[in-house]
Amino acid sequence: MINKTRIYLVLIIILSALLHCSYCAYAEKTVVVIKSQDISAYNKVVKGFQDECFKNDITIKSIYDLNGKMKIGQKIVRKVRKEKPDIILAIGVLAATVVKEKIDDIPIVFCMVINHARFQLMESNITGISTEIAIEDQLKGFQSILGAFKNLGVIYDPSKTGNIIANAEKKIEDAGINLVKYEISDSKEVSEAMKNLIGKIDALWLLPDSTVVTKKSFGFIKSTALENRTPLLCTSDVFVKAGALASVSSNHKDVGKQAAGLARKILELSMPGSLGIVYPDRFKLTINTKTAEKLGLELKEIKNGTKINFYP
Amino acid sequence: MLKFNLIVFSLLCLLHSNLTHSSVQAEETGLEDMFAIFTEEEIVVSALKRPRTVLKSPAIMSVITAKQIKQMGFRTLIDVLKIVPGFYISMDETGEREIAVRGVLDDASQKIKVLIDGHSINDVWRGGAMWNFDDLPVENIKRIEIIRGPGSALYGQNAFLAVIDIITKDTEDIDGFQVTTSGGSFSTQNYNLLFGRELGGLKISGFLDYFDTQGFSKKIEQDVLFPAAASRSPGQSQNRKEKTDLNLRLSYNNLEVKAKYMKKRRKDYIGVGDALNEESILRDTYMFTEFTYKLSLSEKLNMTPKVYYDQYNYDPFFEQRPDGHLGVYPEGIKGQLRFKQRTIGFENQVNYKLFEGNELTFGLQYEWIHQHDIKYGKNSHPITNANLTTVTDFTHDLPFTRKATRHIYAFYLQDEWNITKDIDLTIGVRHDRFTRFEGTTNPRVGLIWRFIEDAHLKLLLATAFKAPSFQEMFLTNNSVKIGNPSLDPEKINTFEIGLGYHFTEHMRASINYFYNRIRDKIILDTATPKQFQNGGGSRIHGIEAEWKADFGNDNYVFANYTFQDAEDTRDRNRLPDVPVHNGNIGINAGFCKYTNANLTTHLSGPRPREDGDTRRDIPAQALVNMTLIGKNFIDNFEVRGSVFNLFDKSYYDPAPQNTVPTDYPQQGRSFTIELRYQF
Repeated sequence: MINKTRIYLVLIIILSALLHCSYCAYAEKTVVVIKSQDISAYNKVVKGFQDECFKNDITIKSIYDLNGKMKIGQKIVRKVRKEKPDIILAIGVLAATVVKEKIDDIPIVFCMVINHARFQLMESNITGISTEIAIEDQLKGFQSILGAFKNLGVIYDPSKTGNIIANAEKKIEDAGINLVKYEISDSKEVSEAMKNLIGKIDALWLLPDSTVVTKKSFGFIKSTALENRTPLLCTSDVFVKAGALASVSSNHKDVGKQAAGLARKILELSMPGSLGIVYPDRFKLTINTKTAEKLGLELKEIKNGTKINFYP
Repeated sequence: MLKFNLIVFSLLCLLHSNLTHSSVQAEETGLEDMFAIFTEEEIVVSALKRPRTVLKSPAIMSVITAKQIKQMGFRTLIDVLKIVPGFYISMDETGEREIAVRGVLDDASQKIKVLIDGHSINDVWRGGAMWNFDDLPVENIKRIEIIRGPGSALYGQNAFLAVIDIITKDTEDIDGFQVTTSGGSFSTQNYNLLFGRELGGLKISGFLDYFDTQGFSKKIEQDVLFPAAASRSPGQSQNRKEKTDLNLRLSYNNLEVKAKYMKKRRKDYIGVGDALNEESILRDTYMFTEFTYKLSLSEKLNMTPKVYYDQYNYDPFFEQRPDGHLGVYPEGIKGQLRFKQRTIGFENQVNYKLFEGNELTFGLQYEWIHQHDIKYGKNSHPITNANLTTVTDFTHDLPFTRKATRHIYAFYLQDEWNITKDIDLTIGVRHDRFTRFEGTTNPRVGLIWRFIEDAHLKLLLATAFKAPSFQEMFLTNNSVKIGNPSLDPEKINTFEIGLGYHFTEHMRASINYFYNRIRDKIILDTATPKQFQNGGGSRIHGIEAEWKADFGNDNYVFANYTFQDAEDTRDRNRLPDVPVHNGNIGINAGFCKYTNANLTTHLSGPRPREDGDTRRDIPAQALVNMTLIGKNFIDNFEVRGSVFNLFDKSYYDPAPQNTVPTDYPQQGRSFTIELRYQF
C-alpha cells in the first residue's frame, strides 16, 4: 500500500526545491570584471569590489585581464557575452574602451580611468567613477596644510588635461586663488616650465598628465620644487609616497567598494542603464611628513574634515 | 687575489642593494603603476585614431552603422541610402536603382563615387557603381560614411555630388563565423556566411553570399510599342535575379590584401528601349584585388602604397523588340554584347605631421584602364536596322564600342590644420590628367568652427569633375545614340554651410544649406542618332535638416528633411524626376534585451516631369517599413522579420515621356524573415 502522505510530502519537497532553484536562478545577479592589466592598483580595486559584492549577493563570474593589450579585447568580449553577466566592471581605460566599443546592451561600470572625459566614455549603458576628486575638496585639503595661499602653478598638456584645467579654473578663482598655467606639448619642455613658474607661485599642482609626469621628469620636478621650497600638491598618493608634499585622492579598495555599490544600484533599476559619472565617495589627504619637514611646515595644527594619512 | 675578489663582491653587493632599493621603492610608492596606466592611455589614444567623426569632418557627412542597418531591416546598399538626407532613389526601365543626389538624377548614378574600404567600384562603361552594386549585401558592412557634396579634391573623378565609403567588418568585428539565411516574398532566398579569424599574425575575414529571387512583377498596361500588335503590353514586368558575392580580407603585419568577386544574372525589368521583353538576360561579373602596405617611417611620417587590379565583364543578351515587331522582324530585334574592362592602378599616400595639430597628406595615383574583348551580334543591321534572318556577328565590321585605353595621372595635396582647439581648417587640391582631355584641377577649403560648446559651424567650398564614361565616348554603330570621343568632363562648383548642435546629451540636430552650379553637362543632342555633347548646366540650391533624439538602450527617434530646388541654367526649367521635398521619419524601440522594433517612413513630395511632358507630376508618397528583431532567446541566435511598404501603397517611379505612359510600377507590400547564428 502506497503511503499517500509520503507521496504528497515528496512532491511538496520537490516543488519547493524547484521553486527555490528558480527563485535563486532569478535572483542571482552576476558580474564580470575586466581589468586592463595586472597591476597592484587594479588588484586592490578588484579586492574591494569582491568584498562588497559578497555582502550584496552579487556573484563575480569571472575576472579577465587584458594584459595591457587592446587586441585581445574582442576575444574577451566574446567570452563575456557567453557568460551573460548582468553587469560588467571595467578597470582602467583599456578595459573601459574595449567594452564601450563592443558592448552596448549590458550595463558597464568603469573606474580607474584618469581624466575620463578625454576618452568620451559617455553612453546610455555606462556608469563611471571619476579618479579626480572635486576641486573644492582638493583645495580644502591643501589649504589645511598650507593655510591660505595665493598663486597655484600648474604645468599641463592641453591635449591631455586641458579639460581638467578648463573645469577647475573658475572654481579655483572663486576660492581666491590665482591659477598660474604653463602649457607644454612635450615632456622636454618641463624644465623650461619649472624655471618659468618657480618664484611666481606658492605651490605647484601636479596633474596626472603623461606629458608632464614621466619617469625622468618627476624626479626633476620634485627636486626643483623642494630646492625652491615650493610645495608639490598632487591628485594621487603615489606621488606623495615618492616625495611630493600632499595629495587628495581616493583609496583603490574604496573605489572597488563604490563600484560594487553602483552595480547594486543599477541592478535595482527597473531598466538598467547609466547613473552617470560620479566622484569617489571616500577620499583622503595624504601628507609626506619628511617633505613637510624639509619645507618647514608645521603639521600639528592641521584641521581637516577628511581622513589624513601621514607618510612614511 | 683574495683582496680583489672581496672588492668585486662588495661592489656587486652594493650595486644589487641599490637596484633592489630603487625597484622596491618604485613598487612601494606605486609610481610604476601610474606609469603603466599612462602607457595604457597611449595605447587607447593610438587605437582610437580613426576616420574623423561627423562633427570633425570637413564635409557634410552622414554615417550609418551596422547596428542601424540591422535595426531598420535593410538588406542592400540601396535600402540604406534611402534614409540619407539629400538622396532619393528611383528605378529605371532595366530595374537598376539610380540615386538622385541634391536634386540631380542622372543615368547610372555616375556622379557618385562608391568605395569599398577605400577602393573605387565605379565601372568605367557607365561611370557609376549602381548597375553592379545597388544590391550589395550589407551583412559585412561595419559602417557607411557618406559625404554629401563634392570629393574630387581627394577622390578624383565621379566624386561629383557625393562619396559613399563602405567600411567592411574585419577580424576585430567578427572573430568566428556568422551564418545568416533569409527568405521572403517573391520566392526570395539569401544565404550568407561571414567569417573572421586571427591565426597568429595573419588576419582573415570575409563573406560568401548567395541571393536568388523571382522579384516582383507588375502589370504594364502600355509599353513604348503599345498599341502595336507586336507589343507585349499589357504584360508583366520581370525582376528575376541570381547573384553570388565573395569578399576576402587578409592582413599580415603591415600588408593587407583585399579581394572581391561578384557575379550577377538578372532579367530586364521592362526592357531596353521600354518595350516589354521575355528573353533579355543581363550578366555582369566584377572582381578586384588590392594590395596595401602601411609603412611607418617615423612618428610623424607614414606612407601607404597600394596596387590594385579590377576587372569588369559585361555580357548581356538583349531582346530590344518583340517577335513580329512592325511586321518586319518576325524574330524581333535581339542582340548579344560583350566587353571586358581591366584597371591596373597604383597609389601612394604619404601622411606627414608637420607639427602638433597639423597633418599634411600627399598622394600620387596612376591608373591604366583598358576596354577589350568586344563582341557584338545582332539580328538587324546596327545602323540601318534592316532585318537579318539570324543573329549576325558585327564584332569586326560594326562593333558597338571599340578597344580603348585611358591613362589617368593624378596627384593630390591636403593640409588639415587644427588652428585652435575650436577651429579646424582643411585645404586640399588634386590635379588629374586624362588621356583624352586636358588636366583638371579641383581645390577644396573647409573650415569648422566650434563656436560654442556643443555647436559647430562648417563652411565648405569645392569644385569637382565627372570624367565622361566609356559609353558616352565610345558607343558607336548605334541607330539611337552614339558616343563622342571629344567630350570634356562635367564640372561643379559647390558652396555649403552647415550648423550642428547637441541640445542635450540625448538630442542633436543639424541643418545645412548647399549651392551647386554644374557646367559642361554631358547630355544627348537632338540629332539622329543622338550624340553625347557637353552643353548647358544646372543650378541647385537647397536645405538639408536632421534631428535625432537618443534615449539610450536602443530607444531613439530620428527625422530628416530635404528641400532641393534644381533648375537648368539655360531655360530655367526644373530638373525632372526628383521631388522638391522629401524626408524620413523613424522610431526604434529596444523594448528589452529580447526584442527590438523599428518603424521607418520615407516621405516624398510630388516629382516633377521634364519640360514638355504633359503627364501630371508623380504624386507624393509615404512608404512605411517595419522591422522586428528577436534576440538572446537562444545563445548567439537572432531572428529578424521585416515588412516593407507596410500599407501596400501603390507607387511608381518616373518613365521618360513617350515611353511607358503610366510610369514604372514599384513593389507593394513584401516581407522577409531572417535567421542569424554566430559561432
